[in-house]
Amino acid sequence: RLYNYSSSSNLINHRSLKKQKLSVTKTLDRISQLPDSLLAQILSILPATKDAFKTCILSKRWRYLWASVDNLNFTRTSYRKTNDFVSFIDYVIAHFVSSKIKRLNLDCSRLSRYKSHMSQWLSFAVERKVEDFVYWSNSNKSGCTLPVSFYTCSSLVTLHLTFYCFDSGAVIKWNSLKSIKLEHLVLSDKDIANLVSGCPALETMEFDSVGGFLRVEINSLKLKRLYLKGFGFPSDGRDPTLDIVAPYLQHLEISRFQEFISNVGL
Amino acid sequence: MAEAASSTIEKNNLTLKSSYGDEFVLEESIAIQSVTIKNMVEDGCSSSVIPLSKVDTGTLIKVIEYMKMHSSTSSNEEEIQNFDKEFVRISIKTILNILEAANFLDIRSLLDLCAEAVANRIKNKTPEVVRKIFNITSDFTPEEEAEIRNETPWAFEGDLDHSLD
Repeated sequence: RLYNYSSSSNLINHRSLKKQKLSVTKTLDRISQLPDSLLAQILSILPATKDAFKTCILSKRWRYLWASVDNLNFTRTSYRKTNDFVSFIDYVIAHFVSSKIKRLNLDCSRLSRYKSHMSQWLSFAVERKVEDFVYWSNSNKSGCTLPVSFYTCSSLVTLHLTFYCFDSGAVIKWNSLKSIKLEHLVLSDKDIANLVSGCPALETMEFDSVGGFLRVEINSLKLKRLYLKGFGFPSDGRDPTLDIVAPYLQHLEISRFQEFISNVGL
Repeated sequence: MAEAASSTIEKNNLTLKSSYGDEFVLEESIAIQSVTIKNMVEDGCSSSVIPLSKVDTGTLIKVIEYMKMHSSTSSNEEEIQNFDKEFVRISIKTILNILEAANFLDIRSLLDLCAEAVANRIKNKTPEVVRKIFNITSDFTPEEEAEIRNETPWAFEGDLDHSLD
């Protein structure tokens, strides 16, 4: 089953791999005979990008396959040190081959020391036309804000933001966005209005443990479903009445009202 | 096989031929779960035998078994799920053969099922274990492997599964 890859043991690159593939196919094991696209598809299913990355050491055939996945999942588990987690994401992004990311899951909680890294990762996501994005941030007023390009990322189809502070001055243009979920956020009436007007294709809007606003006005014919879980009224002395004006909505779910919500601590 | 085809005249049948030359008669409505076959039918190639030169007999039998179950109107969702679970409890080599056939035949759900079964055998395993499971021989020199590990040490730490399941 052993095969002689090449007489020289120089570091291999993509091009030489391709050239030599034909001649060695017959002696390769079954899985390594599969075309790159199928192997990339398999690696894209792995729940953690670390698992996909680790296949780089299997053999030369596998050296760079991980870089063609269309699904990136960076979660904090299985890293002893925060620094390692950050290094891993930096490395993956620097070596990534796919021009498109179908799904990106990025856990940036407790990473406030790495603002510039986070900003680069998000710019990378925009460049690679991310479609489904789950972003766990712990940014507050002093934390990382999304780079300007992110607010106009037209490839986004679903977006799930947790612990995020919207930049109230930003102009949102998420033209393809169909579904948004916001969790543990404080939003002003203006943020809500910006969001609704900036997402013309939006069909589903979901809020979980959010608050700060008192008015939601949706006049879009497309937006059909609104979920409001754990809404918290602002604690700024305003009359705690929530107005929802949404004449075309087909499904509305409201549950678990909270007494107060403040900007502090979020 | 030809007799089976003529005995059910009211149903449109197709004959699929494996790379070993074995022929299988299948109702068209079942076979067109494969987009490749569907396209052939629409292009008028269905009157003759459809040769599948990339699919061996054993693999084709499994693919047909899958397509029959998934087009059956008498089985409910739970039965299909159980079928799928049992379907991939086979050797990894067979799964890889079916995966490649599903890719060629363009049967999306079967491709996804096999790809997931393969991914489950990579998930959270050490590279050494993955090599054993898939019979992969490393062609890195020890120095090359050490260099990769040194370059990205954080990728190879953590609690990993050493079992061959």
